[in-house]
Amino acid sequence: MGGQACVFYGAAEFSRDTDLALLASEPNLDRFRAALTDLQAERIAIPPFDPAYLQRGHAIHFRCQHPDAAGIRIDIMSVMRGVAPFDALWERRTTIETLDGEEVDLLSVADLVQAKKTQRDRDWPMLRRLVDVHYLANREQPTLERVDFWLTELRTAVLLIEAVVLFPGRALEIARGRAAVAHACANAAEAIESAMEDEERREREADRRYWAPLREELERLRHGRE
Amino acid sequence: MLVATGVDDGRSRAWYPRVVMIPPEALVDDEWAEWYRLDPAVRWAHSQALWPSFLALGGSLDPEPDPDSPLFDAQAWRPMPADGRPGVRVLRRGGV
Repeated sequence: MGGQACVFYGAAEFSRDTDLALLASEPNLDRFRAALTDLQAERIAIPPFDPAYLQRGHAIHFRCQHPDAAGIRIDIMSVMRGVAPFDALWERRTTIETLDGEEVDLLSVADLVQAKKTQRDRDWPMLRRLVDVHYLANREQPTLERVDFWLTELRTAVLLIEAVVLFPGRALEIARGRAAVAHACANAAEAIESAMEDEERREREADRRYWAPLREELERLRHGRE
Repeated sequence: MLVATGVDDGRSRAWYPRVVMIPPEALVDDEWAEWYRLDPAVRWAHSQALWPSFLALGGSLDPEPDPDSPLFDAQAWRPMPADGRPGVRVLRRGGV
């Protein structure tokens, strides 16, 4: 769901770890435990590998020891702030086949964008590139779903201005709920940037609030109080 | 440069003014623009092909420390960089 998906969608060139969005059901966790055994993977850091932590929104971290994957990090999550429940993610997933013939399921680009709306500096340029690349590659094959995604998520002012010119009907509707689009309709680049900064600030703050109790829980675990 | 002369907004075949579309090179450098243009499956394959070089050059499999992350633990053990020294050290501090 993380860096590897960003590579596929064009926002990154390389990722050194593997982030998995995992359905935290017992049968699925049993399958995951079997995969961990195959990979000779051990949990590292906190929290412990307990479904309750996954369901509360924590990430759990593992390191592989198998010679074919020695040192590789695997991080799993089941719940992410602002991201749809797993069933919806699975329904919307992208499935690719590697050169080795293996199938890999990735978060859809729209879900990945939601997952990247965090408090971390590094996620915001990534988020912008994810939408930019999708728009540049598909703007000549628009669908209603794609147009709404671009107008709702584009964070490059010149592309947003282009998009409102190409799709004025949807732009006027979406402008009611997104100030950046309203400013794009007026070709006001500075106001767009300012509105986007406000969006980012609100999301970062919401992410900090979301994580506050989880961070406290992690601190208690670090100090052996749980 | 691409020119759109009629674009479907998803609901109707409306006819819009000619729009000179912004090329990737107007947004990012040539290397990134080329990366943007690749088929996603090709990007994936290219990225996978970087692994041997990354490991041969001593690339770390640990995530870079990220103080912004809610998961960041300042006290956590971290491996030394490949050259055995921190990347940046303070040698002298200015007066302000």
